[in-house]
Amino acid sequence: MELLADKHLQYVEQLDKSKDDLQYWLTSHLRMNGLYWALNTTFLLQKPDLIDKEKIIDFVLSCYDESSGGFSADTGLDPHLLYTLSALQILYLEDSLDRLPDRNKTINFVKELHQPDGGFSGDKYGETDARFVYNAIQSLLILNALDEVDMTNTCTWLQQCQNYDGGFGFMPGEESHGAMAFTVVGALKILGKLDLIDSDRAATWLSDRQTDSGGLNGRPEKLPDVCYSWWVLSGLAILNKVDWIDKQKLSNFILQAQDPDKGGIADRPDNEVDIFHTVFGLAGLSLLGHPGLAQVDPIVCLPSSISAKLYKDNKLTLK
Amino acid sequence: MHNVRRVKHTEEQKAQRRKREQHDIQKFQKLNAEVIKRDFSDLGRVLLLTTQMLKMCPEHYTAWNVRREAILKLEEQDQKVYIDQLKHELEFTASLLPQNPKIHWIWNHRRWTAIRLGGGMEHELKLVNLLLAKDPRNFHGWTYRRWVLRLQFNNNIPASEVEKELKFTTEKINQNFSNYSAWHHRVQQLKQLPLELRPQLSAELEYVSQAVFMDPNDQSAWLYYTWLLEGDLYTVSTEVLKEQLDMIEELYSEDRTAYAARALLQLKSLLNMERDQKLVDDLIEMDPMHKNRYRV
Ligand SMILES: [Zn+2]
Repeated sequence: MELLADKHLQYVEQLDKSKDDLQYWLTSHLRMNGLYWALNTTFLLQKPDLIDKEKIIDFVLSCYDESSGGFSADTGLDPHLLYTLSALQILYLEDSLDRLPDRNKTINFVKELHQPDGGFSGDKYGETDARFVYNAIQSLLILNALDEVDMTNTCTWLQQCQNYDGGFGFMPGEESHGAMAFTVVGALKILGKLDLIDSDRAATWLSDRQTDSGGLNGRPEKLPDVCYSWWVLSGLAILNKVDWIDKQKLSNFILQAQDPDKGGIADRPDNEVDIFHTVFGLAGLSLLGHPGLAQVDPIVCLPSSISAKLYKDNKLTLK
Repeated sequence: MHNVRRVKHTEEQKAQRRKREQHDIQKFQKLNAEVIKRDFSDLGRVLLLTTQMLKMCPEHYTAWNVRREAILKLEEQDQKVYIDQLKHELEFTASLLPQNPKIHWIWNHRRWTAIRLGGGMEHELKLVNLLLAKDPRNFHGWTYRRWVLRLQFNNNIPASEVEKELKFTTEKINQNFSNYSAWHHRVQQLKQLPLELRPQLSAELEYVSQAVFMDPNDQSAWLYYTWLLEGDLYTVSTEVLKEQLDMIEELYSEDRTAYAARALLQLKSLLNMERDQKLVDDLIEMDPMHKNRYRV
């Protein structure tokens, strides 16, 4: 199957027209992430103007929590790091970071979630895990404030997420999980501390995620799933080991998971599509060098043209 | 969305579904508006509203937050009512988890409750056992299990408890040796045991070999085998390495699999033997997807 770019753009366009579906409401906790996934999809498909800029910025700002400086998933909900990063990514993609009401307050929101052991919690109620550490670090990167937090113990904490098998767990001592490759390897790369992990062992575990179908799974002896074409492959890309898997077979697996009628990509061929698997399927194809897609940056999951600007703002040389 | 087969619906079916869902959408919107008001003048009402919302949408993280705030206000008013409410929270999350075992927010609320209740953790392990019986790979369940043990013993788990956990992994692995979550848990337990209580290396090698011989294509047992040989925990003598080499060579001669070939390459490297190019070539032929890695 070839890349159905136009279909995917149509799929993105109809996303906010599903307010008559119960599912739309039951997923309000994903609204802000969903918008970032949709916007990133349009950037990867090189149609960044498809989504109305003012409308999306208005929504993001409607989720700003004045008392904490964080952002919520949907208007009226509580702030959380998961949504704060997506909000910042949207503003940055739309070149509108200056619309952020109070930069220092948002920096403080992130800072206050830093835990004594080096981890970050997602909000004042949450426990610590590597997702939130990544959220915090990329948020601070976008806010150009990485040097405002001492990350020494965070680097150690991230290092301890690597297991004896080479993979990375949600927390030190937890079972290796494909999704944590992006968060741990990506966070350490941003912090310039990739040398803290055993790269060859990591790349071995990550490349072992490829199954006979060509798709990548998240853990040993589990089914392949398109989203690991991002979580796992981005880790391999940061470690410069994408060719440790069969690229063609993975491309085919992702392309077969497209819905040829309404567009979008599913977790596996013949399953129902969603925007999450659509953006991470496309981002995976971009890492594999598939034609017709903008180049994606494996460290921050933004188009490379955008991340180049981000690193310049921060005076970082990550490549 | 995961594991949902694609079905094509006609326009008529879609219209019917929308009509059916109208009522629930209105219910959601009404509950959502009430919950995010954070009107704590009637705590019983807040608990009722958040119960209704979370039964409908257990991912509504703000409803969990509002609920916790209400419970903390109960604590200020009446200690006994507060404790009873915490006990009720255990029942409430236990009723939601079997249908939603992968929702972080529910596990998070249960942790919050368990910390406040303290005391024996038997009920917590019982719940985890139930959920791991349903899905032995649910990593939320395994993570919670390790967390509960750390909480119960204030990060200082006695050796007798670690030995119990080790037995638990044996039980799970015997049910299905492809359960890597159980192997991982086993590694975590072995690391905690003092040397004199640790099973002998030979016993562990023997145990994992059974799994490897039963299905040489299963990744889980091989990962454990590799870890044992790497000497992260046990000192592996040259003699043992040679024994293992003989054994895997025998296995490989009967059943040529990529994992066995990888183990042979690992053993030869640990024994400082020359790189076996023929074996590498065979490996590339058996597992061409990873050829660039093997060529390194
Ligand atoms: Zn997925």
